[in-house]
Amino acid sequence: MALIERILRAGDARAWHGAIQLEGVYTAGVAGERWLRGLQAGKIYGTRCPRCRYTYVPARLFCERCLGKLDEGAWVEVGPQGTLLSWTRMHLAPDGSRLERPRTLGLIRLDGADALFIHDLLDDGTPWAVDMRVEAVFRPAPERVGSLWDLQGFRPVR
Amino acid sequence: MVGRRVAIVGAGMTKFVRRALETGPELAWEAAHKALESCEMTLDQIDAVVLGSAPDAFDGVHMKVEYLSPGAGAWGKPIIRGFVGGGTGIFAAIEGWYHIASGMFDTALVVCEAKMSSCHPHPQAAFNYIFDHILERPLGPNLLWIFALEMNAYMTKYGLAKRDVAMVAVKNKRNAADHPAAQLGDPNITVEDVLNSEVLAWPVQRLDVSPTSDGAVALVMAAEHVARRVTNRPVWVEGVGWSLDTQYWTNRDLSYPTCVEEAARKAYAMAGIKEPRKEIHIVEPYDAFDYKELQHLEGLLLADRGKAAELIALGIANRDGDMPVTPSGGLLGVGNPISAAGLMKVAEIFWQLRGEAGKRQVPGQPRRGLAQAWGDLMQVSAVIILGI
Amino acid sequence: MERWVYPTSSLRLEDIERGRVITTRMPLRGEYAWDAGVAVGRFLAELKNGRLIGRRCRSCGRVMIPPRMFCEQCFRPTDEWVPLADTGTVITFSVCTISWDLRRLEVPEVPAVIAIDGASPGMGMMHKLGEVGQTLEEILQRVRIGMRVQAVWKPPQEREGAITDIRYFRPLEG
Repeated sequence: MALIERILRAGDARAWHGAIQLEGVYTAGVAGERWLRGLQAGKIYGTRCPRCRYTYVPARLFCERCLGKLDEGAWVEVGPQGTLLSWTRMHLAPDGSRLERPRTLGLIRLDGADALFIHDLLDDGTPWAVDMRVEAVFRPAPERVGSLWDLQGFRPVR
Repeated sequence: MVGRRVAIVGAGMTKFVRRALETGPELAWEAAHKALESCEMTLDQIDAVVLGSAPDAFDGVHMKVEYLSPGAGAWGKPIIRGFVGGGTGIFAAIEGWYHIASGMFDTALVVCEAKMSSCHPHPQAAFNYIFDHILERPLGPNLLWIFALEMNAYMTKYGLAKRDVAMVAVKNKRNAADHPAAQLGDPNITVEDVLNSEVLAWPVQRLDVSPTSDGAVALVMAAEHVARRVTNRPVWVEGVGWSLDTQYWTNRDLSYPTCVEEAARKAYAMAGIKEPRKEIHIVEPYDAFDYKELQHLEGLLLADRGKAAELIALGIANRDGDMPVTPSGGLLGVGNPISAAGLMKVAEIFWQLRGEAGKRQVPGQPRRGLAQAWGDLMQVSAVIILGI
Repeated sequence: MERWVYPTSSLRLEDIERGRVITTRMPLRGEYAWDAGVAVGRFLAELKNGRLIGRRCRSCGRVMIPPRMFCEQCFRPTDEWVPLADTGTVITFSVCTISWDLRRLEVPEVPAVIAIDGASPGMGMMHKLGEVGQTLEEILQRVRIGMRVQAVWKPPQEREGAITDIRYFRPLEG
């Protein structure tokens, strides 16, 4: 007999609805916790692997190239200025709806870092361009909580 | 034997804890780093990476192998992720074996990780979604139902008392008191403690169940010519087997783990083992619940059906008995990061055969051990036999 | 092997609840609309009619519940629908005193695997038992593996074509 049977009456086709409802509560990790506290203090840190000569930002506990530990001595301050390597302007929200105001994101090589950093670009009418010099803008100290948003974003270096 | 000879040459692990500060990649790295350090190898000497990690829902990061890969040493390397629930810990070691046995790679780093604590309100809630979405979830099931239904079927069929089963929890939690990574080691726990613990889903009580854990384990595996350069005590993979039972779990005989027997027979055949009860010196069966250790010993053909409890009662399964069972302390004592726990058992056999198990060392220079894991909807099993 | 155990950092629940470590939260929410498929679609339609239905494979002879359009053992299409009774035998059961998120239930639930009359031996489906007591002790007195049970249906106008059209199974004797 045929494996597939055709449904001939519209009312016979039905969908069963369900949802997955869990919540993720994420710790920042050994390195992440310290890195976020650095942002809270108004500093951007990276960790440098001396063997591979590669500086990661955000700071990491280990080097993924050699699997070596990045310990106390590996922590270095990077930025707050850097070079804009690429940028984009988003018009859609994650759910596909239109954003009221577009949002601009930048891919930045902070001074002293090798890994690239993504954050908001603060639009003030200046046209963005690859290779432009940019600088980090922190929120006022009392508003900082140890979050990626302790950084408001990046603006062109004045 | 199938393919080239393969050995485990190094092993490392994190502590197993209820909730770690470390992210998943950091946990994977801690274990991988220790494994490499233990055999003085470096990442550039690793040809391929095998990663085992359980549902993405635990860590809460989709496409989890990519997320974990930096910590597992996979940068610029071929990587594969196997996932068979709790069976993953052994299955990953089997994947490491066939990467090398095939002749395609000379070395492999096998890393298994679980960070269950990210999943709220409770990691157990993620298991609600393994029930059939139309015919079972509307009944409001929880994970404990599956084990309780199986435990009742097993105990009733063979006329076991709760005491017979509780002895496994006591043995394993006491063994775990000697394991440096253990989450629930307890040198003083008694059968009465288990019998008095709160009923969750009868007949399952709180102390019958392994904990929720974060943790990672890693092994370094190598082809013979590399193994002999790296260590003077390589531990050889002598047999492997794995099998899967029907997804229609309510159609199965819940009192007997058929897939364990199928996997075990394949492993015994490959290892040339005719009398497992004589030829296996140490066994680490999967003890997610105390009754599972008994059921698995029977599926592994190391005890007659319904009779595994006698091995525990008679002391045969103690560390100084004729066939030590779960000398590590197992999932009940060391902990149960779902996909990594099986690999902890492989690491235990590795350390035991090399005489490196410290206070847990089984006397008499055991030469052959078996580790088994089980998972998914009570349906998959993987077995590995190691020898020195 | 102590040297090869990394000193992983352990947190307590209060470290998270009191904000001693930085955490971020995000719901993992997925909404799904599944097609029930041919076999389960028919099974649900029959539930609405107050009936259980199975599927036979002529090659191995099994009458299967839940029904399926292919036999997973013979690896061929199954052959015909088979009406089943709504009575059965308890293969196994549990008495669950906690909810899925580990809160205590006021009245325990009794999940069971029930072999349905008319299907092949050992062909079980999961459901719940009812009218068996309000406490753990009462329920353990009343329920036995091997006990005969009967489905208790919702009235026709309340049925939706769902497994919950059966409220529960109750003991047949007494």
